[in-house]
Amino acid sequence: MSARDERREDGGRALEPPSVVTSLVVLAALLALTLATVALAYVDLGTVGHVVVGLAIAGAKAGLVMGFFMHLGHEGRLPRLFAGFGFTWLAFLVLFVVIDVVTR
Amino acid sequence: MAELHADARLVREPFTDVAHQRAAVSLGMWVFIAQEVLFFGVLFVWYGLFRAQHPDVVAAGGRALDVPLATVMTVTLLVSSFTMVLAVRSAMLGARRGLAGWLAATGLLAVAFLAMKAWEYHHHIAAGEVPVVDLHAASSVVEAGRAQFFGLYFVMTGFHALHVVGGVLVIAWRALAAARGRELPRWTAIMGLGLYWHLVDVVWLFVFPALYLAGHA
Repeated sequence: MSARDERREDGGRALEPPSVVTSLVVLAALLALTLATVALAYVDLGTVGHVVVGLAIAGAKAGLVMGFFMHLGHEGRLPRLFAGFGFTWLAFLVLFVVIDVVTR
Repeated sequence: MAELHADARLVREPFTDVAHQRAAVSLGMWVFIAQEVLFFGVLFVWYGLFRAQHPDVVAAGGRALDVPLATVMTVTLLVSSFTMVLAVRSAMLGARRGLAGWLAATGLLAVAFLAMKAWEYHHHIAAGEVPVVDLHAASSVVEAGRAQFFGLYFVMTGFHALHVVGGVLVIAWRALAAARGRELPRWTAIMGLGLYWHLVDVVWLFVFPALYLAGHA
Protein backbone atom coordinates (compact mmCIF):
# COMPACT_ATOMS: atom_id res chain seq x y z
CA MET A 1 0.00 0.00 0.00
CA SER A 2 1.49 3.34 -1.01
CA ALA A 3 1.61 6.30 1.38
CA ARG A 4 -1.11 7.99 -0.66
CA ASP A 5 -3.44 5.00 -0.39
CA GLU A 6 -2.82 4.86 3.33
CA ARG A 7 -3.84 8.48 3.75
CA ARG A 8 -6.93 7.94 1.63
CA GLU A 9 -8.14 5.01 3.70
CA ASP A 10 -8.31 6.30 7.26
CA GLY A 11 -5.83 9.15 7.64
CA GLY A 12 -2.95 6.75 8.32
CA ARG A 13 -0.43 9.57 8.73
CA ALA A 14 -2.69 11.19 11.32
CA LEU A 15 -1.81 8.27 13.59
CA GLU A 16 1.64 9.79 14.06
CA PRO A 17 1.88 12.03 17.15
CA PRO A 18 2.32 15.70 16.07
CA SER A 19 5.94 16.83 15.76
CA VAL A 20 7.05 19.40 18.37
CA VAL A 21 9.48 21.09 15.95
CA THR A 22 6.90 21.42 13.15
CA SER A 23 4.32 22.77 15.62
CA LEU A 24 6.82 25.33 16.94
CA VAL A 25 7.60 26.52 13.40
CA VAL A 26 3.85 26.84 12.70
CA LEU A 27 3.37 28.81 15.95
CA ALA A 28 6.26 31.13 15.02
CA ALA A 29 4.69 31.72 11.58
CA LEU A 30 1.31 32.44 13.20
CA LEU A 31 2.84 34.98 15.60
CA ALA A 32 4.79 36.64 12.75
CA LEU A 33 1.60 36.92 10.66
CA THR A 34 -0.21 38.44 13.68
CA LEU A 35 2.45 41.16 13.96
CA ALA A 36 2.26 41.71 10.19
CA THR A 37 -1.52 42.15 10.17
CA VAL A 38 -1.38 44.62 13.10
CA ALA A 39 1.45 46.61 11.48
CA LEU A 40 -0.38 46.75 8.12
CA ALA A 41 -3.54 48.02 9.83
CA TYR A 42 -1.73 51.35 10.39
CA VAL A 43 -0.60 51.69 6.76
CA ASP A 44 -2.92 53.54 4.37
CA LEU A 45 -4.18 50.90 1.93
CA GLY A 46 -7.74 52.17 1.48
CA THR A 47 -10.78 50.36 2.91
CA VAL A 48 -10.81 47.70 0.18
CA GLY A 49 -7.05 47.17 0.54
CA HIS A 50 -7.40 46.67 4.29
CA VAL A 51 -10.24 44.17 3.86
CA VAL A 52 -8.24 42.20 1.26
CA VAL A 53 -5.01 42.20 3.32
CA GLY A 54 -6.84 41.41 6.58
CA LEU A 55 -8.76 38.54 5.00
CA ALA A 56 -5.67 37.17 3.20
CA ILE A 57 -3.55 37.11 6.38
CA ALA A 58 -6.41 35.68 8.50
CA GLY A 59 -6.99 33.06 5.77
CA ALA A 60 -3.30 32.13 5.73
CA LYS A 61 -3.31 31.78 9.54
CA ALA A 62 -6.49 29.70 9.46
CA GLY A 63 -4.89 27.52 6.78
CA LEU A 64 -1.83 26.93 8.97
CA VAL A 65 -3.99 26.06 12.01
CA MET A 66 -6.25 23.72 10.02
CA GLY A 67 -3.49 22.12 7.97
CA PHE A 68 -1.09 21.43 10.85
CA PHE A 69 -2.72 21.85 14.30
CA MET A 70 -5.99 20.29 13.08
CA HIS A 71 -3.96 17.81 10.97
CA LEU A 72 -6.22 18.23 7.95
CA GLY A 73 -3.12 17.71 5.81
CA HIS A 74 -2.86 14.16 7.18
CA GLU A 75 -6.53 13.27 7.03
CA GLY A 76 -8.32 10.98 4.62
CA ARG A 77 -10.65 12.21 1.90
CA LEU A 78 -13.87 12.28 3.93
CA PRO A 79 -12.85 14.78 6.67
CA ARG A 80 -11.39 17.02 3.94
CA LEU A 81 -14.64 16.83 2.03
CA PHE A 82 -16.64 17.88 5.12
CA ALA A 83 -14.17 20.67 5.91
CA GLY A 84 -14.75 21.85 2.34
CA PHE A 85 -18.54 21.61 2.71
CA GLY A 86 -18.61 24.19 5.51
CA PHE A 87 -16.74 26.77 3.46
CA THR A 88 -18.60 25.92 0.24
CA TRP A 89 -21.99 26.58 1.85
CA LEU A 90 -20.59 29.75 3.39
CA ALA A 91 -19.51 30.83 -0.11
CA PHE A 92 -23.10 30.23 -1.35
CA LEU A 93 -24.43 32.32 1.53
CA VAL A 94 -22.04 35.18 0.72
CA LEU A 95 -22.76 34.92 -3.02
CA PHE A 96 -26.54 35.18 -2.65
CA VAL A 97 -26.33 37.99 -0.11
CA VAL A 98 -24.09 39.92 -2.51
CA ILE A 99 -26.52 39.24 -5.39
CA ASP A 100 -29.40 40.46 -3.22
CA VAL A 101 -27.63 43.65 -2.18
CA VAL A 102 -26.19 44.72 -5.53
CA THR A 103 -29.50 44.19 -7.37
CA ARG A 104 -31.70 46.15 -4.94
CA MET B 1 9.84 8.00 15.85
CA ALA B 2 7.86 8.23 19.10
CA GLU B 3 5.67 5.22 19.75
CA LEU B 4 1.90 5.63 19.52
CA HIS B 5 -0.05 4.63 22.61
CA ALA B 6 -2.24 1.87 21.12
CA ASP B 7 -3.53 -0.03 24.16
CA ALA B 8 -6.49 -2.23 23.17
CA ARG B 9 -8.49 -0.77 26.12
CA LEU B 10 -8.54 2.62 24.38
CA VAL B 11 -10.76 1.24 21.63
CA ARG B 12 -14.50 1.35 22.30
CA GLU B 13 -17.38 -0.42 20.59
CA PRO B 14 -18.20 -0.52 17.67
CA PHE B 15 -14.62 0.12 16.52
CA THR B 16 -12.20 -2.70 15.94
CA ASP B 17 -8.96 -0.74 16.08
CA VAL B 18 -7.65 2.66 17.11
CA ALA B 19 -7.20 3.86 13.50
CA HIS B 20 -10.89 3.25 12.79
CA GLN B 21 -11.91 4.98 16.02
CA ARG B 22 -9.63 7.94 15.26
CA ALA B 23 -11.06 8.33 11.75
CA ALA B 24 -14.64 8.31 13.11
CA VAL B 25 -13.88 10.93 15.79
CA SER B 26 -12.15 13.12 13.22
CA LEU B 27 -15.01 12.87 10.71
CA GLY B 28 -17.62 13.59 13.41
CA MET B 29 -15.70 16.65 14.56
CA TRP B 30 -15.33 17.97 11.00
CA VAL B 31 -19.09 17.66 10.44
CA PHE B 32 -19.59 19.68 13.63
CA ILE B 33 -16.92 22.20 12.53
CA ALA B 34 -18.62 22.64 9.12
CA GLN B 35 -21.81 23.55 11.01
CA GLU B 36 -19.86 25.99 13.21
CA VAL B 37 -18.34 27.64 10.11
CA LEU B 38 -21.90 28.37 8.95
CA PHE B 39 -22.98 29.58 12.41
CA PHE B 40 -20.15 32.12 12.60
CA GLY B 41 -20.38 32.68 8.84
CA VAL B 42 -23.81 34.28 9.28
CA LEU B 43 -22.33 36.73 11.80
CA PHE B 44 -19.50 37.58 9.39
CA VAL B 45 -21.99 38.13 6.55
CA TRP B 46 -23.87 40.54 8.83
CA TYR B 47 -20.56 42.27 9.55
CA GLY B 48 -19.58 42.41 5.87
CA LEU B 49 -22.93 43.87 4.86
CA PHE B 50 -22.74 46.47 7.63
CA ARG B 51 -19.18 47.43 6.73
CA ALA B 52 -20.03 47.70 3.02
CA GLN B 53 -23.00 49.95 3.75
CA HIS B 54 -21.49 52.01 6.59
CA PRO B 55 -17.68 51.88 6.26
CA ASP B 56 -17.23 55.03 8.35
CA VAL B 57 -19.22 53.62 11.27
CA VAL B 58 -17.09 50.46 11.33
CA ALA B 59 -13.89 52.52 11.04
CA ALA B 60 -14.95 54.73 13.97
CA GLY B 61 -15.90 51.63 15.96
CA GLY B 62 -12.56 49.97 15.27
CA ARG B 63 -10.78 53.05 16.61
CA ALA B 64 -12.78 52.75 19.86
CA LEU B 65 -11.37 49.25 20.46
CA ASP B 66 -8.12 48.39 22.22
CA VAL B 67 -5.70 47.01 19.56
CA PRO B 68 -2.73 46.24 21.89
CA LEU B 69 -5.00 44.29 24.25
CA ALA B 70 -6.61 42.39 21.35
CA THR B 71 -3.15 41.58 19.96
CA VAL B 72 -2.18 40.08 23.33
CA MET B 73 -5.47 38.14 23.30
CA THR B 74 -4.67 36.81 19.81
CA VAL B 75 -1.19 35.71 20.92
CA THR B 76 -2.72 34.07 24.03
CA LEU B 77 -5.11 32.00 21.90
CA LEU B 78 -2.39 31.04 19.39
CA VAL B 79 -0.08 29.84 22.17
CA SER B 80 -3.01 27.94 23.73
CA SER B 81 -3.51 26.16 20.39
CA PHE B 82 0.17 25.15 20.50
CA THR B 83 -0.13 23.83 24.09
CA MET B 84 -3.23 21.91 22.97
CA VAL B 85 -1.15 20.25 20.22
CA LEU B 86 1.33 19.20 22.92
CA ALA B 87 -1.57 17.86 25.05
CA VAL B 88 -2.78 15.74 22.12
CA ARG B 89 0.79 14.58 21.50
CA SER B 90 1.17 13.56 25.18
CA ALA B 91 -2.14 11.68 25.03
CA MET B 92 -1.06 9.88 21.85
CA LEU B 93 2.19 8.84 23.54
CA GLY B 94 0.34 7.70 26.69
CA ALA B 95 2.10 10.36 28.80
CA ARG B 96 -0.54 10.99 31.46
CA ARG B 97 1.32 13.71 33.39
CA GLY B 98 2.26 15.51 30.19
CA LEU B 99 -1.38 15.43 29.14
CA ALA B 100 -2.56 16.85 32.48
CA GLY B 101 0.12 19.56 32.40
CA TRP B 102 -0.44 20.72 28.83
CA LEU B 103 -4.22 20.67 29.23
CA ALA B 104 -3.84 22.77 32.40
CA ALA B 105 -1.60 25.23 30.50
CA THR B 106 -4.19 25.45 27.69
CA GLY B 107 -6.99 26.01 30.21
CA LEU B 108 -5.05 28.74 32.04
CA LEU B 109 -4.35 30.57 28.77
CA ALA B 110 -8.05 30.33 27.91
CA VAL B 111 -8.98 31.76 31.32
CA ALA B 112 -6.47 34.59 30.74
CA PHE B 113 -8.20 35.30 27.41
CA LEU B 114 -11.60 35.41 29.14
CA ALA B 115 -10.25 37.70 31.87
CA MET B 116 -9.00 40.17 29.23
CA LYS B 117 -12.36 39.93 27.45
CA ALA B 118 -14.23 40.63 30.72
CA TRP B 119 -11.99 43.63 31.41
CA GLU B 120 -12.67 44.90 27.89
CA TYR B 121 -16.46 44.46 28.24
CA HIS B 122 -16.39 46.26 31.58
CA HIS B 123 -14.46 49.16 30.04
CA HIS B 124 -16.85 49.51 27.07
CA ILE B 125 -20.00 49.25 29.18
CA ALA B 126 -18.64 51.84 31.63
CA ALA B 127 -17.92 54.16 28.67
CA GLY B 128 -21.50 53.78 27.43
CA GLU B 129 -20.33 51.86 24.35
CA VAL B 130 -23.29 49.52 24.29
CA PRO B 131 -25.78 48.38 21.63
CA VAL B 132 -28.52 50.57 23.08
CA VAL B 133 -29.76 53.93 21.74
CA ASP B 134 -31.51 56.29 24.14
CA LEU B 135 -34.40 57.62 22.03
CA HIS B 136 -35.41 60.17 24.66
CA ALA B 137 -32.00 61.82 24.82
CA ALA B 138 -30.85 64.03 21.95
CA SER B 139 -29.55 61.04 20.07
CA SER B 140 -27.62 61.65 16.88
CA VAL B 141 -26.96 59.52 13.82
CA VAL B 142 -23.36 59.11 15.04
CA GLU B 143 -24.58 57.70 18.34
CA ALA B 144 -26.98 55.28 16.61
CA GLY B 145 -24.14 54.08 14.37
CA ARG B 146 -21.90 53.52 17.36
CA ALA B 147 -24.64 51.52 19.08
CA GLN B 148 -25.00 49.37 15.95
CA PHE B 149 -21.25 48.75 15.79
CA PHE B 150 -21.20 47.68 19.43
CA GLY B 151 -24.15 45.40 18.70
CA LEU B 152 -21.92 43.66 16.15
CA TYR B 153 -18.99 43.71 18.56
CA PHE B 154 -20.85 42.21 21.51
CA VAL B 155 -22.65 39.53 19.46
CA MET B 156 -19.55 38.40 17.55
CA THR B 157 -17.13 38.45 20.47
CA GLY B 158 -19.85 37.19 22.85
CA PHE B 159 -20.61 34.05 20.85
CA HIS B 160 -16.87 33.47 20.49
CA ALA B 161 -16.36 33.92 24.24
CA LEU B 162 -19.19 31.42 24.93
CA HIS B 163 -17.27 28.90 22.83
CA VAL B 164 -14.14 29.63 24.88
CA VAL B 165 -16.12 29.06 28.11
CA GLY B 166 -17.38 25.71 26.79
CA GLY B 167 -13.82 24.75 25.85
CA VAL B 168 -12.45 25.73 29.27
CA LEU B 169 -15.03 23.53 31.04
CA VAL B 170 -14.20 20.43 28.98
CA ILE B 171 -10.43 21.11 29.15
CA ALA B 172 -10.62 21.41 32.96
CA TRP B 173 -12.65 18.19 33.19
CA ARG B 174 -10.17 16.23 31.05
CA ALA B 175 -7.15 17.78 32.83
CA LEU B 176 -8.54 16.69 36.22
CA ALA B 177 -9.29 13.19 34.91
CA ALA B 178 -5.73 12.90 33.57
CA ALA B 179 -4.21 14.28 36.79
CA ARG B 180 -6.15 11.82 38.95
CA GLY B 181 -4.98 9.04 36.68
CA ARG B 182 -7.92 6.71 37.24
CA GLU B 183 -8.17 5.91 33.56
CA LEU B 184 -5.89 5.76 30.57
CA PRO B 185 -5.99 8.94 28.51
CA ARG B 186 -8.20 8.06 25.56
CA TRP B 187 -6.31 10.09 23.01
CA THR B 188 -8.98 10.03 20.30
CA ALA B 189 -11.25 12.02 22.65
CA ILE B 190 -8.44 14.49 23.43
CA MET B 191 -7.84 14.83 19.68
CA GLY B 192 -11.55 15.72 19.24
CA LEU B 193 -11.26 18.31 22.03
CA GLY B 194 -8.16 19.67 20.29
CA LEU B 195 -10.04 20.07 17.00
CA TYR B 196 -12.74 22.06 18.82
CA TRP B 197 -10.17 24.26 20.54
CA HIS B 198 -8.35 25.05 17.28
CA LEU B 199 -11.69 25.97 15.70
CA VAL B 200 -12.25 28.53 18.49
CA ASP B 201 -8.79 29.91 17.65
CA VAL B 202 -9.58 30.07 13.91
CA VAL B 203 -12.81 32.03 14.52
CA TRP B 204 -10.88 34.59 16.58
CA LEU B 205 -8.27 34.93 13.79
CA PHE B 206 -11.08 36.45 11.66
CA VAL B 207 -12.85 38.40 14.45
CA PHE B 208 -9.60 40.18 15.34
CA PRO B 209 -8.89 41.97 12.02
CA ALA B 210 -12.61 42.41 11.23
CA LEU B 211 -13.45 44.39 14.36
CA TYR B 212 -10.24 45.63 15.97
CA LEU B 213 -8.07 46.48 12.97
CA ALA B 214 -10.69 48.52 11.07
CA GLY B 215 -10.15 52.24 10.59
CA HIS B 216 -6.64 52.78 11.97
CA ALA B 217 -4.78 53.90 8.84
